[in-house]
Amino acid sequence: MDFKRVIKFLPMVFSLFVIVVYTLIYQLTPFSAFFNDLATNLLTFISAAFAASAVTLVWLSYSKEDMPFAIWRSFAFGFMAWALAELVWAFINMIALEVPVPGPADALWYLGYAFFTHGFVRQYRLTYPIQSRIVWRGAALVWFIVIALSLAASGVGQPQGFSLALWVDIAYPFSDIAMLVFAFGLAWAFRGGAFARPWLSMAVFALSDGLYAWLVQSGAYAWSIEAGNPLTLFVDVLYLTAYLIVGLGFLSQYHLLKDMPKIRIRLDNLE
Amino acid sequence: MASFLPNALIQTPTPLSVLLDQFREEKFTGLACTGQAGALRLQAIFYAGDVKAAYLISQDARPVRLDDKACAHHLTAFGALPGQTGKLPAYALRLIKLFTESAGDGDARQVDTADIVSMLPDWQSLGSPSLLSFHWPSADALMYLPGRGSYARHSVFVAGARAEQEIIPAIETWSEPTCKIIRHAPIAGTPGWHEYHLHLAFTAAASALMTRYEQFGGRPIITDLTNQMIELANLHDWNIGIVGNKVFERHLFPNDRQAARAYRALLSAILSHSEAVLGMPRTLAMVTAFYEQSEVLVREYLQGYDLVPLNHLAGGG
Repeated sequence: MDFKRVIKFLPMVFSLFVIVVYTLIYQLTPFSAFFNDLATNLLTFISAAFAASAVTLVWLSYSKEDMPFAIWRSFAFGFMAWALAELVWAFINMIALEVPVPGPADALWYLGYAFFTHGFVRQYRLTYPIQSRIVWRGAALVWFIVIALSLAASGVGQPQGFSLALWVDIAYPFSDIAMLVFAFGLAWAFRGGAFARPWLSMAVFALSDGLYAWLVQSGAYAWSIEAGNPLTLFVDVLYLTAYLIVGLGFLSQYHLLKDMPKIRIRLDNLE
Repeated sequence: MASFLPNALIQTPTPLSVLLDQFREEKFTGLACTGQAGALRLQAIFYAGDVKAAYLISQDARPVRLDDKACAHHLTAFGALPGQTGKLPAYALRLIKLFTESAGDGDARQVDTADIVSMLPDWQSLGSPSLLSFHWPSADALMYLPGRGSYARHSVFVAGARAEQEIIPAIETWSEPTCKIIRHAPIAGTPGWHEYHLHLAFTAAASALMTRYEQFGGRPIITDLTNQMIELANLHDWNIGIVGNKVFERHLFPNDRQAARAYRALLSAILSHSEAVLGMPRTLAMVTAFYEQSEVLVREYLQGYDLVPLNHLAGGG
């Protein structure tokens, strides 16, 4: 049996295992309410930590002199911030039940977005022969649109007034759309090549996370809890799966750096 | 016409026919000349024991490069004569081919050794390329200047068994006070000219593409590509070295067709690797950017010999 293939296969088995265990605990609630919550929160944190570990492996595969080093460092810091946010959120949730918005976890999630933006900007500068300030201005414009749209959606200038908590929550799906656009642009740029994989997984991650945030913000999640239908399960599993997908995408990049495809050149084709 | 590097050659009493066997056994790389002074002479360039180019040199006419059949005939005809031999690296032999095929008697002048380096910019700024040969009583040097302000592309300094690629430091420290410099005008279109410029185009393209590829992929990617290229070169006995992202060709091909075939394979390796990792669009963008930045002559050779075989890649056209 090819040991390398087994090693590459293991994270996929792990991811499926996490999803199955999460779904079973969610549906069957085999423990007390406290331990059910603890287990599901822990699995969410493990998934986020898996993504952070995978991207850190990619980052550490490069040396400081390599241009991708700074790019992957930004993504590693971003996912570390998100994994920490999951842990903080879970801790508050277990202790106080109600997690305040905005809270320390939100600060960490938005810090993650800042790191991701920095990583994307550097990758775009490397990918296209565009001046640095133009890329930064493009990123700033995208974030201006995100802030403007989320402010508008959270009731700025409307009679009921502005709510910071609402704005922080509503900005998540818009921020995820920005990440989706950035990531998809890179997946498109590297289409057909192995380098497209991490960006494609990042795009899927942003889409899943954005869908989760939108379902929560639209009230569909709360309605589903009351109605007792499986939408909440779908939404929560989607959130967890997003981390696992992006982790697998980053691991494929790590494996690529460690074990490149063999090229075959036939001289008779080159006459 | 004597050799361009007389100080690299040692007189030997052994006849050429015996030397040929020795060369094959030793995998000799260098130059051998035979014949009588003032009469017809044979100059043969050896790489790894095999003759890669041979010339008939007469006092009055331009040297004639011999084809395989004529080469075999003249090696036999001159076989009983003793000659001069000198071990030289491939880069020196490539220059000798260029000089031998291009130059007649050039414009000669006697200068102080100490003034040579300060005179080089005058030749560099000329509108046409210059082939310079430098002769001291016990050392010689060759230099090719492309003109239009470009720096020397290749050069060699020899003094007995010592051969150096960077000639300026060697000239600066050379103790003989006066030097005879001859400027020859290169003749475009000779086989040696094509082989030399093919080599230039290949090394420029390979080095530039690897540098850009490393920016995307970093050292892990480029280390793997380097290993795969070296493996490919070893498989075909091509003496190619890669240091950092710089590609050094230490091989000497017998003709432009064989050289182009090897270069195409090596550039194909870079592009196939890049296509698998970066995808075709970024690989094409990398090649396009290189074409836009490269010199006209380099571009002409890359296109003329189809050295960047994008159509052989999976998605290319």
